[in-house]
Amino acid sequence: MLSKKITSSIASLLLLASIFLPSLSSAQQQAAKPAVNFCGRVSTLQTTLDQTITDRKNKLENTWTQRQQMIATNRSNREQRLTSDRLQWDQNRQERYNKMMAKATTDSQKQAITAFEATIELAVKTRKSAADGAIQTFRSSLDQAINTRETDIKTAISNFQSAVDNAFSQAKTDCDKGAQTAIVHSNLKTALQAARQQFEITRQTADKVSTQEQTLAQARRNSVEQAISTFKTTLQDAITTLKTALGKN
Amino acid sequence: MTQNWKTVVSLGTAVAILLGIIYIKTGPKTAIYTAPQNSYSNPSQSTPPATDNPNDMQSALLQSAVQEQSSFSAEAGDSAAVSSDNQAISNFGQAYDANAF
Repeated sequence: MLSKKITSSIASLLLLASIFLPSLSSAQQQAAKPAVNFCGRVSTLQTTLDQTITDRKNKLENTWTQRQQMIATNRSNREQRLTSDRLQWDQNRQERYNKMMAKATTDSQKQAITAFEATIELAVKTRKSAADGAIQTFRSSLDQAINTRETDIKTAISNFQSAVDNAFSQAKTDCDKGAQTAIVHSNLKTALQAARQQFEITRQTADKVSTQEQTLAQARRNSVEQAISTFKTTLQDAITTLKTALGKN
Repeated sequence: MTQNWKTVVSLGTAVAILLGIIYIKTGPKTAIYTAPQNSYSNPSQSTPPATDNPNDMQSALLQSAVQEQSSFSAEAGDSAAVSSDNQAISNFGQAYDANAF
């Protein structure tokens, strides 16, 4: 009684699965296709696979185009933002120098403020140069990594397509020669599987470029942090000197 | 009691398998890369008003340095773009479906 309940419950679930997932049963039917009329289907199979390859290649190239556009847009936006930021901070600093100078009552205080301004402006300039250099180097490196990856994948795609063409040509030749259908079928599948595996190997190699890029990005991030750390030290020393001169310790 | 447990375990297993199949068939197929946007704050809102106080000057200069550092961090976030084509490449690699042959 109980076992009937279990059986009927599982059967109900599997029935639901077959309703919601019709592609599963379709795939199983395809897998079960006999090799009897294989030679008659070779051209159709090739056309179908070629179309799939073309579609997926186009999608991949669209992904690359979108990535390129997105990176270019982000860079442009960031450049505009950074330029605007720097301009406002430059103006803000100048206002502060002017206010400090206006409040100075002695020549020595004015000299101290002038020296402070020179020190800070040089430090800011050095910091900006370090950041700009790091960004440019980072961009070049990123572009190179992307180009290398795309080139590797394009080559892999070309090799895959050639291997597919060769496999089907061989299958057609074998069929024309009257070779056993089952053997032709098996050879074609083996050749296509090998082409796919070769593509996968290239893909894994391309993935390593991504890892290298992340390492380089971290190295450059560290260099920017070092430049800012140096700036902070210079600032601290300059402020201490200035406060001493202004009698604000 | 034991029979009830068998029923629960059997049904639970069947449901888990069904949910697994549904997830595989209908789950996310593409990884969408969203490049990092400018994450550092807007200076028009954060630039402090200028004073003649050296301590304020020090705070403002530190703030500008931190802001510039975050602008570079946003730039470096683009490195994730290198692998943003993973899904499309993977899809291409599966163009040949042995089951169709």
